[in-house]
Amino acid sequence: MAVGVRSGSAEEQAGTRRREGYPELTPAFTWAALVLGFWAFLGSVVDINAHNHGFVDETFFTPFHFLMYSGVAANGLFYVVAQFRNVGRGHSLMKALPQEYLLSFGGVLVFGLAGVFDLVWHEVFGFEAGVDALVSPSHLLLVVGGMMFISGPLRSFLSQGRTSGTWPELLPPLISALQILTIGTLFTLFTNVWTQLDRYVTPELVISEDSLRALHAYTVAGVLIQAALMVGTLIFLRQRIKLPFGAVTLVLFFNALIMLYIRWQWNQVHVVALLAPIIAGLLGDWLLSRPAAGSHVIALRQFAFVVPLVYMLALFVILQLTSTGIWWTEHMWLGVSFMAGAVGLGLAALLTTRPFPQEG
Amino acid sequence: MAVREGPALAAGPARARRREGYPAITPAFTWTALALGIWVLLGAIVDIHAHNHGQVDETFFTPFHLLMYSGVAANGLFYVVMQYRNVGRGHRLLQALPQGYLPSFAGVLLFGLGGVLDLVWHELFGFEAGIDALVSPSHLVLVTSGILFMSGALRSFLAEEGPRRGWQALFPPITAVLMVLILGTLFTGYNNVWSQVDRYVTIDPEGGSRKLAEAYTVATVLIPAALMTGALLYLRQRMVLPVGAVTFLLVSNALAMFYIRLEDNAPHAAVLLAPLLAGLVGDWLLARRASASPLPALRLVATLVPFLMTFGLFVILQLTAGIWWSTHMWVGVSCMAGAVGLGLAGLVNPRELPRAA
Repeated sequence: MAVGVRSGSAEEQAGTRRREGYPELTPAFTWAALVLGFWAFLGSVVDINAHNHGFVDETFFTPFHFLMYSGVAANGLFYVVAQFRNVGRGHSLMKALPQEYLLSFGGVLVFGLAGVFDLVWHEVFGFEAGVDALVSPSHLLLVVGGMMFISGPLRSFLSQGRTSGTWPELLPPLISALQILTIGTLFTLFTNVWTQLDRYVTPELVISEDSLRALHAYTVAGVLIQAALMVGTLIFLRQRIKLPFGAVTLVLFFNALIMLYIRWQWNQVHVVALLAPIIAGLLGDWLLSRPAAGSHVIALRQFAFVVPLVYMLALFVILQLTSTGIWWTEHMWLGVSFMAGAVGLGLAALLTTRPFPQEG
Repeated sequence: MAVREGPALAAGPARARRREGYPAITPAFTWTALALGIWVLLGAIVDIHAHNHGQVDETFFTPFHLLMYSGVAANGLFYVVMQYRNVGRGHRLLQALPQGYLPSFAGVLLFGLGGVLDLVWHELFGFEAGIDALVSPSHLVLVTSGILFMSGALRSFLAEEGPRRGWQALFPPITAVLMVLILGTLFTGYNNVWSQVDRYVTIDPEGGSRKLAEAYTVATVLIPAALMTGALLYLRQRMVLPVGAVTFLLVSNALAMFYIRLEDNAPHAAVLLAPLLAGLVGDWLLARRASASPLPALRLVATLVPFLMTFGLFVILQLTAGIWWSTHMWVGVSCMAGAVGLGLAGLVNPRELPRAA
């Protein structure tokens, strides 16, 4: 893989002379970092899918683990080579990678350390099963490591102080953000409307009136947590970048697709429900593309309310029309869709352009 | 209720002469509006408590409903009287209440409309039972209206210019945010760790799916963590919080939620030390002299406070009653609560939104 880091604005003298600043970022570096991050990410997606379909037994040595860990190793190799090469060219140790990519390298190291921590954790507290495996501290540390190197293209773009660009320029930060969002939804997949879609059609796991109460609570949370994560990601992006038309649809659709795939065996019959993120995404893209008549913050708050509302409403309408219907009452699916909108509005309330109040 | 006249008085001495602008806000008005909001909120809390403890039957006419609806009526009466009086003094119809309070009045009117919608809704789709009642659209309209009239003190505060400090000035807006927070947690009370504390001690339902119980109880930590940290961040973005504000917010919210299932939660009252501890740490962190940029400090608070609150809760439960969650779960989910706070803090970034070139 061509690392392709051109030397920066430093002295154009001997390669070993001290160079000030970071190496210049090239498109090749950005795309290489993106693809390598995606490799590890894809590995984790197919691994979680495999776990949910009984394709893995007790051994660590599975093709799914191989895909994921080889991706992490490739990231490590990439950053070590680029770091080594640029230090050799005279860059200081802490500025040998293009700006923000040191943290990506740090992420690979955190991932390695977390692997050791994981072994120790298992020795002390035993192995995890089921939901435990997604929330265990040592696994969360692996997630943090992964997020650090997967978010490189996004952090790099933001560090340049740019707020807009062409699709090829914006695709790396957008895909990076999509992956971060999806890591968030993957590690809360036990309460995610897309992975658990079949459970909205058939109220399984119910053994008594009391477990129906728990199932109600669980399925409501599956909508609200998904809504919070996706709207949070979108308004985080919109605060910082002028999103091109299609960006909202891209983020919403691929996130939903990946989450649906995680329990594909049960969810494939409901694949038409993926029209919901397309409808809500296109609406969101349209809302963002309109010139804001007044405050941009108010326009973004409208967006943050309408998009998750329409998203969930469309999802439940499609399920009602195409499957045997959902077991939720009208009170539930209409009300919870409204609550998804309220979640978005609540998140958007954190946006403000007023100066931060200071002491003194 | 004393409402002093605004500074911008149009020409002419007559009472009926047109007056420009809003009536000036007085402390008496602020505190009255606040007290009236608290009245309704208390009614809602004791009503939900009564529903959870089987103290209500099928009738609408309960003392709990009386407390709540009389509060709404009192709010309505207050705003009608103020509106009428100030229109009589020459203020415009839409500027007859102090700035920020017209939506409070509208909230009371919306509550009335919501009541009618509720009747129609019940005719069309039947009555709600259990969680349905907390998420049904017509009930959510009632909640929205409650949020509108309970948040008047906050809107009024935000409409005023200039820095204000100290508990006396900030208690009304902080309490308004607390009330909105409590409404948010009450209406997701089925997914709230403080109201469902006992379900972490005994796996519930007994003999039911462990996977379901795990997923449900994890969500029940993350949702209130998001609501509480969100409220805290919202406030800190808009005011320099007086010492004790974080503790006040967290303890009051946890206490209200704990109370709504008091019979089941009473043996675990010691867990209320957790929001107290996390609140004191949060207050201390916010009281430290901020560096050049307050954002890193705020991110630290947003991460540490929900983490400590959740971690403290589980440590106390482990020491006093034991929980059925594995170590992986209670340590990991505490970290996830911190991550929720950090994620929310990622949205706090006071800058103009990028515009098209």
